[in-house]
Order: sequence, then structure tokens, then C-alpha cells
Amino acid sequence: MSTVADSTGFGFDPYDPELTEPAVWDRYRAARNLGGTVRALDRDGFWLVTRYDEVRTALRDPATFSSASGHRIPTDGSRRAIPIDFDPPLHTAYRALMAEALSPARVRALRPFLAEVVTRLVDDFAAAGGGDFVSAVALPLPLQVLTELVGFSGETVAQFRALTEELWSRYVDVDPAESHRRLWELMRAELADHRARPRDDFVGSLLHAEIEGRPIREDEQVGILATFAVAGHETTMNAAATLAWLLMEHPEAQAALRADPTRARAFVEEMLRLRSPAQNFARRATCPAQVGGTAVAEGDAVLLSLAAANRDPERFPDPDRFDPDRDARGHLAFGWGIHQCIGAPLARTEFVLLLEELAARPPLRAAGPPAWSSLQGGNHLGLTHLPLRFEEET
Amino acid sequence: MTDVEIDETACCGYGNCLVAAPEVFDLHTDTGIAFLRPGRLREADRLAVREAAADCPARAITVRG
Repeated sequence: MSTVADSTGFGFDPYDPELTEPAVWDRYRAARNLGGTVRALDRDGFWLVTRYDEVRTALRDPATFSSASGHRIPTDGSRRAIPIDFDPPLHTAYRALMAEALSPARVRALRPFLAEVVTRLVDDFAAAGGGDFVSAVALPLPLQVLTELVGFSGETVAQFRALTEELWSRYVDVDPAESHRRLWELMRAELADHRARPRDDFVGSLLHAEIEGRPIREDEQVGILATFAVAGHETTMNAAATLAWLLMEHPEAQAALRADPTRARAFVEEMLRLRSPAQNFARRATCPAQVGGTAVAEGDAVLLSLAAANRDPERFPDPDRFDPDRDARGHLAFGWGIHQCIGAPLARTEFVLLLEELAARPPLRAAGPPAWSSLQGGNHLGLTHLPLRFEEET
Repeated sequence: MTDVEIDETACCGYGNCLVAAPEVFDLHTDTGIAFLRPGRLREADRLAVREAAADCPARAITVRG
């Protein structure tokens, strides 16, 4: 029953502008109801995998489901990102190098800085009488964190959003090469600046790093910094805005959080489960494999939908309901296994701090209609505009 | 006799081990770092513990025996 092999296939073009809130969730549900693993004929063809057990099983098996052809559809292996588009052993070496900047010990040390950034952004937002939460809080938060965490200059991070949006828009057309080139140029300029004026930060440490016992190459340094630049803000921005949107949409949950801010952690996990900001990651089968009851041939692309898996009713009862009191442990929003999000400890800390800060203020209310993106890069779902304001204190 | 160790400096608090072997692992509520629940490891948990070690993105779990 699991295979849908009719001639039309299942329509799912990850770059389709129609795949947005709320239609995208209907599409995932339709695929789950057709057996979970369905054949999409879009973009050279791939298997869309939507059930929790099957997505997690594939994530845990990097030998069968390789990342080396890239994490986007089509899996053509072009312009591979570090470390996500590599298999072990090189992946392990890249990841270890990047993990130094994101370890729990480093995150703990950063905590006072993170709290200060969050408080200042929310202070400014409140002082302005509210506004667009995305541009005022959700975007500047990760950008400011990247200056401290990696050592990027303020001028450099100010360009990340525009360059990233250009990157996503190019995926819809044909060739993202030009926008990649501009991003890489910016990263090269940061490396050159750090060579000229040595500093004790992550970019500085990257200049003399080793990979598998040899000096790191410049293209590797650029690739690692580009990952921090793009993955380091897109996901955090979308998640932070989604948290605020959930507060606005669920006044009872907002009131409960205000009464007991220790609920912030569970609230964050339920946001990640229900509205996973990074939704779909591709792999390529290195050998004939089974995904649930579906036979996947060697060389086939599979698109593992973390967002769909997180709404699998077999794993999370009443999955479409936002329930910050549920046990959301085991959700796949950060992935699972060797490619699991390296920034997860940092992101979780930022989100809890943000929620605690918002819960300490007057109630947060809508100040206009919100707007959602389609799947950016076939993957990222988030708010592009979220007008909010704090209720005036009486 | 299976022996399990958690490298607390490596643990990133993903909690995958809790999902694989909830009888064996837990996370500190304050630090988010994993620890071994008190009590002897039961034979029935051996497979789950190996899964937990394999699932750990931080490679913080060592299983011997």
C-alpha cells in the first residue's frame, strides 16, 4: 500500500510558491495519507518521505542515504555546503571544527550576551510601539549573535539577509551560481580582514585550522563561513518569529507562559515540532533500499520531510494541534543523527530567553495581518511580516 | 557486563539518548546535559543503549561490553 507509482505521481515541487501556510501542511498530510512515501515527478523525480519512523530511520542511516549529492532537490551534487552535504569521514572533520564555536560550554559562556541582545531588541520594539516583529527582532537577533559567535563584522552580517533571499530566489530559476559567488566574495573579504588584523575569534581560528591532518583550504574556510552566514540566521529568524506568532495566535498559552515562565522550554519544543522552520532535507540512496514498504532504487533521491514527520499522528497524537503541554521530545525539527543541527543548543537558549523576555512584558497582540513565505530553498518556512504590539498597560 | 559512559563535556543536550533509552538516560533540567539514571543497567536495555550511542550527534556516549 505504500507505493504510489501511477503515471502522474504526487505533485510536490519544493520551489512551488503555492507551498506556503497553510497549504503546505495539507500537502504533507495528503502524502502521509497515501502511504507516507510517495513518488514526486517534479525536478527530476524523487521520493517524498513523510512518516516519522521512516524519516528518522533514513536520517540514522547515512551509509545508505548519502548527503554527498546535496540536501536540496535535485540532488545534483553542485555547490555542496559544509558540513551538511558531505558524508563521513570528511563530514566528521568539518563538523568537529564548527562545533567548537557552538558547544554547550560556549553557549553557556555566551548566555549573558544573548540575554542582553534579546532584552535590548525587545526594549526597542516596545519603545517603538511595536511594528514588524520579523525585521525588528527575529532577524537582528541571529545577526547580532553571529558577530559575537563567529567574529563577522556588523557590515558583513548586514548583507546576509539580502544575499540569502537572492540565493533562494535563484533556486526557483535555474542557476544560483551568481548569488553564491557574491556570498563567497563576502566571506573571502572577512578572511582577508582577519588575516590583516588577527583577532581571537572563530574566523581567526579558521585561518590556521587543520582538516584531517592538513591545512584547511580557502574554499573550505569560505564554505564553513557561508554556512554560518545562511543557516546561522535563516532558521533562527523563522523560529523566533514563529514563537511570537504562536503567542499572538494562542492568547491562553501566552497567559499561561506569563504566569509561569518555566513553561518556555516546552513551548519552544512544541513550536519546533508543529511548525518546523527547516522542513525538507534530501539524501540519495547509495544502494537499493526500503523506505517503509517502498522500494527505492540505487541513485534515487529522497526528500525527508522533517516537518511532515513531526505531524505524524502515529507519533504525536492530534498532531496539528498546538499544545505546549505535550511531550514533544523526539521531534525531528533539528534532524536526527550525524547531521543533526549543530546550532541546536544555541538556538534553544536564544528561543527560551526570547520567550522569557516576551512573557515579562504586557500581552503581545496582533497589529495587522501576518504574511508567510513559501518554502525558501525548498526548505525554510517562515513569516515575512508580523505586525505586533504590546498591549498598553493601564 | 555492559558499561555506559557519558562524556559531559561533549554532550550537547540533544536528548536523543532519552528517546532511545528513557530507562537509562535523563537530562539535567538546569544544564540540559545528559546523565545516567541511578541503578544497574538491565539486560533488556542493552540494545537501546547501543542505539542511543549511535544516535548521539555529539558522540558523547561510550558503550563497552
